[in-house]
Amino acid sequence: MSQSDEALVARVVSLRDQQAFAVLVERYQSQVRNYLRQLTRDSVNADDLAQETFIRAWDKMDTISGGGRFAAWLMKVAHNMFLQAYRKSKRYGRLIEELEHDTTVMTPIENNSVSDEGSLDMPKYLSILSEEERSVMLLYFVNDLTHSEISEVSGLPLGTVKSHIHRGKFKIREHFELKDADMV
Amino acid sequence: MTHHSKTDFSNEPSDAQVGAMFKNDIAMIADDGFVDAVVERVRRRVRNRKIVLGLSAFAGGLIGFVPLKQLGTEIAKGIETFAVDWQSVATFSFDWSSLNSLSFDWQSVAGWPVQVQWLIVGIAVAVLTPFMARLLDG
Repeated sequence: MSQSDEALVARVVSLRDQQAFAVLVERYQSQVRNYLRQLTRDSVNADDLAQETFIRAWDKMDTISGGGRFAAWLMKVAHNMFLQAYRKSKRYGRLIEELEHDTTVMTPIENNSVSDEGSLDMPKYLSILSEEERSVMLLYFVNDLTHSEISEVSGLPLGTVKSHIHRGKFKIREHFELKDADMV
Repeated sequence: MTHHSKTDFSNEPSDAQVGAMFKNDIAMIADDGFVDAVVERVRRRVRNRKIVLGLSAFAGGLIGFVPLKQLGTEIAKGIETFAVDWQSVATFSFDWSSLNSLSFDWQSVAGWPVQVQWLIVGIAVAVLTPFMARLLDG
């Protein structure tokens, strides 16, 4: 019989049990990687972030509060990793832009230095959602987190989480109606 | 009378419908060596922590060994005096001058005193250890 998340977390926290941790990684790698892939749109970057997420989880596992679910806590770590990377890439993006303006370089600098190998196609209904809506919808429908857990993960107020889900569903319905109309 | 909010959610798809749609499109990702990669990194991390702790303890020992030894000798001397002659307790004074040998001897022709050398090695190890750990973590 497979052990519960709580039992495995307890083993990791108290015994630093690497095998128990490996079971948790195996159990949640798909969810975490999927979530980050949908946010970053790049499977290579997403997998790097997912690795960092699990390493951070290993380091900080003792900070899981008693009542919280491991899945929700882990998604929060993943979400924070994404935000950090996103802010950093924005900052460096600005720096590169400034450098491009300031220096006279003979050969043009490629804007997109990252190869497109890992870039992902997004399901159409996800592309019509805002970044925040997409993240909330993924946590709700793919990772099966509750409204309050999503609020905890994303740092958004509970009401905003609920309204993002409603709005997201509404947008999806509208999008599909539009598709139906096009087809007639 | 019916009320219409700005956004009418009445026809929105059910949670089950959207959930099925999401789960259909966002397939499970099979383990392609990801788990092993993470576990290997954790293993390296644990090993590096042990090395860092060992080196830190060694550095602490280096820094503290000479002064602690001298302090210990002085305390032992004091205890001896205390045990032999109660009268001497009143006149007993700690011989701080013995610790002066720790100070750097600029006049030393032979080079730096051994204590200072130990101290410098200890401090160097203490400062470099975290950087080494970072490098090893990769």
